[in-house]
Amino acid sequence: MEQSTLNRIKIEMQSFKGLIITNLIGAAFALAFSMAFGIPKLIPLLTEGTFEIGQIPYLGLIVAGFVIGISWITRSAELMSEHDDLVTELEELGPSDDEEIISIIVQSLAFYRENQTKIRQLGIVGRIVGIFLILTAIPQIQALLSGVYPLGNWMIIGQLFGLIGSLGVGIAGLYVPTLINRFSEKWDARLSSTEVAEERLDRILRE
Amino acid sequence: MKGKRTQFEIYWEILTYCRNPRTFTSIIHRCSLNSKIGQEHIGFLENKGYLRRFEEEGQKLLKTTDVAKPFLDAFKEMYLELFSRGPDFKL
Repeated sequence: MEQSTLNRIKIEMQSFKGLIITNLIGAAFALAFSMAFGIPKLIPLLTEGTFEIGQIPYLGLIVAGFVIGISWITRSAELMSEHDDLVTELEELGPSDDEEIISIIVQSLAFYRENQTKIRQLGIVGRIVGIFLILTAIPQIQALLSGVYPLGNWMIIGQLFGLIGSLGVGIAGLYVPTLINRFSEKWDARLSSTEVAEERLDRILRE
Repeated sequence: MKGKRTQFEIYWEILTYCRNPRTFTSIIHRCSLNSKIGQEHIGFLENKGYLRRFEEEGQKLLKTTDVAKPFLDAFKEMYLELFSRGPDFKL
C-alpha cells in the first residue's frame, strides 16, 4: 500500500511542479510580449524626448505588464523553491520509509495551508494575462488578414511567430487557472479530511 | 519545515523523532519550533505520558513511550488514507 501511496504522491508533486513551471514560462512570455508590444510605441519618447498624450496607454501597458509579469514570476519562483525541497526529499525515499512518507504528506499539507492564497492568485493573474495576450493578438490577426501590416516578405514569419506566441500563451494563460482550480479543489478536500482526522486524534489525546 | 502545521502534526513529528532519545534542543531544532512553543508541546506530551524524560551520561533526554502508540497508529492510518486514492491531481 505504501509503495502505491508513494507513487501517487510523486505523480501529484511532479504535476504541481509542472504547473508552476508553466506559470513561470507564461510569466516570462507575458513580460516579453508587453515589452515588445509597448516599447515600439514609445520609441519617439526615448529617442526624441517628445511625449504625446497618445503614448500614455502604451506606457501604462508596459508598466502593468512589467508589474504583473514580475509579480507572477516572483510568486511562481517562491512556490517552486519551497515545493522543490519537498520533491527532492521525496525522490530519495524508499517504499518502506513509512514515517518519511507521512512526513512528506505533513509537509505538503503545511505547504498548501501556507500558500493557498498565493496559489489561487496565480490562477487570477494567469487569466488576466491570458485575456490580455488574446486581445493583443486580435489587431495582429486583422493586420495579417487585411495585408496592411507594416512588415512584409520574409519578415512575415516573425509576424506569424508573434501571433502564434500571443495566442498560444494567451490560451495557456486561460487554461492554467482551470488546472489550479482542480489542484485547489483536491487539496481543499484533503484539508477537510485532516479536520475530521483531528477530531479523532483529539479524542485519542483526551482518553 | 516550512508552512502551517496543526498541533497534531507537530505532536506526530515530535513523537516520531523521539523514538530514539533526544535532547530538548535537538527536538525544537528538528521540528522548527521556538523554545516557548516547543516547551508547551513537549510538556503536554509528557503530561499525557507520551514522552518520558530521563538522564543519561549527564544529558537530559526525552523518549517516546508505548502509551503514544494509539495516537501514532491513528495518525499514520489517517494521513496515508489521504493519498490512498488517485492520483487526484495529474497534468
